[in-house]
Amino acid sequence: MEVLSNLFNGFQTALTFQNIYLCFIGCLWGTVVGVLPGIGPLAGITLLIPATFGMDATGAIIMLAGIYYGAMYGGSTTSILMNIPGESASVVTCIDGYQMARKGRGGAALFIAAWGSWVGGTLSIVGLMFLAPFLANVAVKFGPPEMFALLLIAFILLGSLGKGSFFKTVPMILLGLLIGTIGMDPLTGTMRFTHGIKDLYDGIGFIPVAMGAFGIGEILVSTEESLVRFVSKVKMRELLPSREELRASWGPVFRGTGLGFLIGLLPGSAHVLSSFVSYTLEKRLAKRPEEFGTGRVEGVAGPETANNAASESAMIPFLGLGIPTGPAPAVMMIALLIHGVRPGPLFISEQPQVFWGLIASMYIGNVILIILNLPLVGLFVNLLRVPFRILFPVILLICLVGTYSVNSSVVELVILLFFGVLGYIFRKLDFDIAPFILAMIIGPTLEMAFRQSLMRSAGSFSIFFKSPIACTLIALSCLLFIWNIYRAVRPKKASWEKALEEGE
Amino acid sequence: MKTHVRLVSILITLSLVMVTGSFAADYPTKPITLINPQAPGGTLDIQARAFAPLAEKMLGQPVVVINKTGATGMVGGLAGAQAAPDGYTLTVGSVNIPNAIEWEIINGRKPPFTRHDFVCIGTFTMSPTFIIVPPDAPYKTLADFIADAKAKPGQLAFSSGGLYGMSHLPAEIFARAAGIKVRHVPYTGGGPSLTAIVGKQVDFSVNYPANTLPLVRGNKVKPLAVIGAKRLKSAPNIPSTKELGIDAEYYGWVGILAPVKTPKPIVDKLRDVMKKVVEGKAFVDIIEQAGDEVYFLNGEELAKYMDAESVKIAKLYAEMVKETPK
Amino acid sequence: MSKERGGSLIFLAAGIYGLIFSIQLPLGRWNQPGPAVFPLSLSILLCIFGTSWFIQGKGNAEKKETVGLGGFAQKFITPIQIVALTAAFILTFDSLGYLLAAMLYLFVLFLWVSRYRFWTALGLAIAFGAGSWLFFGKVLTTSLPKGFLPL
Repeated sequence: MEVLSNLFNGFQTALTFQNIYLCFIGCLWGTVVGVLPGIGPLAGITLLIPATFGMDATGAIIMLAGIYYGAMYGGSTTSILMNIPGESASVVTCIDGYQMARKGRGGAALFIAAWGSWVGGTLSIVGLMFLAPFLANVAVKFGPPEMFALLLIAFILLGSLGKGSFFKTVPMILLGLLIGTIGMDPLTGTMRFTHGIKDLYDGIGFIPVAMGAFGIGEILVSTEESLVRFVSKVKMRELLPSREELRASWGPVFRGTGLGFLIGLLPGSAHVLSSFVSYTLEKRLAKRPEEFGTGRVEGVAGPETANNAASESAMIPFLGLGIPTGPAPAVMMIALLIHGVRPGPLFISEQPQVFWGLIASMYIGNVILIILNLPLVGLFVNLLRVPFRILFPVILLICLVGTYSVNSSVVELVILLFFGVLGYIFRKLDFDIAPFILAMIIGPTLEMAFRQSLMRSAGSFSIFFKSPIACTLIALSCLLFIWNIYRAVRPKKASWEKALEEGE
Repeated sequence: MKTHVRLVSILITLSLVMVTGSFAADYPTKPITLINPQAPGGTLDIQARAFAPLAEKMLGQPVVVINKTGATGMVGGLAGAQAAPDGYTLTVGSVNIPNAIEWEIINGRKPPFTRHDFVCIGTFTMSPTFIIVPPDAPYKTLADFIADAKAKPGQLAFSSGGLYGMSHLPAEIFARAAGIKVRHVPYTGGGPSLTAIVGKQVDFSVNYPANTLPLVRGNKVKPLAVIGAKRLKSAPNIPSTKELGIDAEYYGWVGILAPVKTPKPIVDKLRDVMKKVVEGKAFVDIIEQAGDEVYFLNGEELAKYMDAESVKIAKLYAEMVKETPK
Repeated sequence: MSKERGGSLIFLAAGIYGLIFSIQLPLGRWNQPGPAVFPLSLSILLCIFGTSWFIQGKGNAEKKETVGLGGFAQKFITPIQIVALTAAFILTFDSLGYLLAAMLYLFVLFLWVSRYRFWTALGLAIAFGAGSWLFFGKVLTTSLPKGFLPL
């Protein structure tokens, strides 16, 4: 088959000493970048572009791509061990991952995350390899109405993300949506809720909120009683997952791959979407869904696989059409241009050695990453053996300086602290923070998709029903919504009767 | 003893002269930052990142591009305007900056900065835009399209990369010059705007050669015309609006700006270096590979161009504002 | 006050804030929805949730979270300390310079909250403060404020 022979050539390109070395450097740097709060894959890639000038195009893009998915691997480490999401796709991993760490299963969680990421990444590349041009054309058909419909479902799924009932999660989502509107409205240029503070023009970033609510909030909660008790709790019994854990994670990993691959094709924050859709899917399918949130391995395996699969398939519109769908593929596009390679629909056919070399290096990169990450699991877990009394001030400082390093803004530090306190209060009141943050990230896209659709159709709502995809998705979301309310209401009818009468 | 004093006084005088007059000779002594107010991967990014390493060779100090995005370029623009005027923080400017400023003024809001907070160093490119439609659209020429638009006023829609941005205004200028009424659907950035037209979410769009030509070659979009006075070297088969009788032209310039109080010797040196790099083969090759054309406009001429354009843009905005619901 | 009631206050507050500020924004028309639509509807929903929970919270007698005023203070004093110290860091680190402020911040945390002895706290503070300064400032080339020291 032609694909396989091309792949073989690709491997010949990729397996040169220099390219493997570059891939390794990229993956290593990507992992570091992913683990560190604040610096994301984007900054990591841009920092290294000048270093690529002496290289040929293939080598350069191999290294930069390595950074990109290396960061995906690294982001889950801090989520699991410290409840601080390294980047937006890892928010969901915090929920069960951190609980697993507290129960002493942190090593296992890290292992499963790495393993799931590898499977998801590799299988996604296989899909990419065969289907890139075709899928790029399909992805493009997803316009504002379809996007809106999909996100509507996503938001309803978000409601079942939390430990509490649907009703308790909804106001958190609403709050997240509201906070997401802060900043300049991209469709009219009006400033919303900024009160003249220029740091807010672009809205409240993910990093200060996530690090605040998760990181600082968690530290504040832990320091409540006394500091001594935390030390004894962190005892990692084994680094490897147990048999049941491995067995339980097969299903989520494969489902996560499929889900992540498909969702990654969509523009925008696809890997965030894929991680929490996977989580809710696993929760639905589990025999004991109420255990989700207390450290179920499926809650780590599914999302981590999905977000890696999504980050690979997010390259498809870029490779197939030359249109980058996110900042990271965009920067890679520039790197290519600087090296004289022109991305575009003809990229695959005109520059096969770069394309296939890249594909081959993706496989290699995933292998390198899993080799890198497994021993690192031991390293990171040992890091946690450091007494909490030493650890937490350092974590606080890193949260502060990490946030500052993104935009050099003191306002963001204030936001960090504010959400730290808010996160703490929410924890005490038993509200889930994850849906709040996810709503904040995806909210603006939902709003924009809605308004763009209406702008296109001159105010007519029929645009949502003209498209078969949008129509089906909206119908699905209505069903889901009704079902959610039904399930929330039925078992606990007594205490929620009033809510039915007054609220909804 | 006397000679000693004389020597010392000569040395002191010499060093004083050197210090005051050596601004330009010394500069740069530390790395230079180029703020790009646009997202990575965009038009500005490509040109800035192609420029940076070449400028580095000439200046002897690292030239680093950082992205400071937000609010259609306002965040980065503001940072650039308020930077220390020592020549170490420059801004990658584009026509978006005066556009954004005029928009604020027209809407009765005080802009966070104005173009008079900057001094212009020069431009990389001054490219016109293409009018593009989906490849299977029934229009063979621009005239067909205009006829269709006139038959269905207010029904055809176009995508842009952002409100009052460099892919929105040319479309508005064209629509008014051709006498058609069309609707505007803003997207966030050149990429999504192009995805929209490729995916047929809108009826037409307007975008720059660097992003558009690859799609044209791959038969994903069909160009109908160039909004400008002349045809482009890289697309000689595509007529310009002027030659088709439509009085519309718009050039999305991309260049470098510095804070207005930057000392003249430094500004002159930067202009000199920029001219050499931009007209040098290495830079031209990268830009032409991307499908664009290099066009270096000196800083002073750029300032005059901006002044002339701002009058036109203010008038355009006044009309647009009248049509927007409040 | 029950947990739900506490939460309801936050939602109500956010809803009212959103209401006040989004009403000032343009609403637009059906074919061009303005920036006010989304925040306004969200704020209204939040207010509804907030009020209904607040009212409902009256009926449920939840177990009290705290054990008298003394217990209250003892439990929350550490978080309050941390928040106060972090606020102090944020306010001063621009003028003091990152290196100094970080070391000071860590030092006070180690000394008062972690209850280390003076010299241990100092040593740890210097080590981690300088380490972070080196890593973020030099390796990652972040621009950290210099304060009045020439560092």
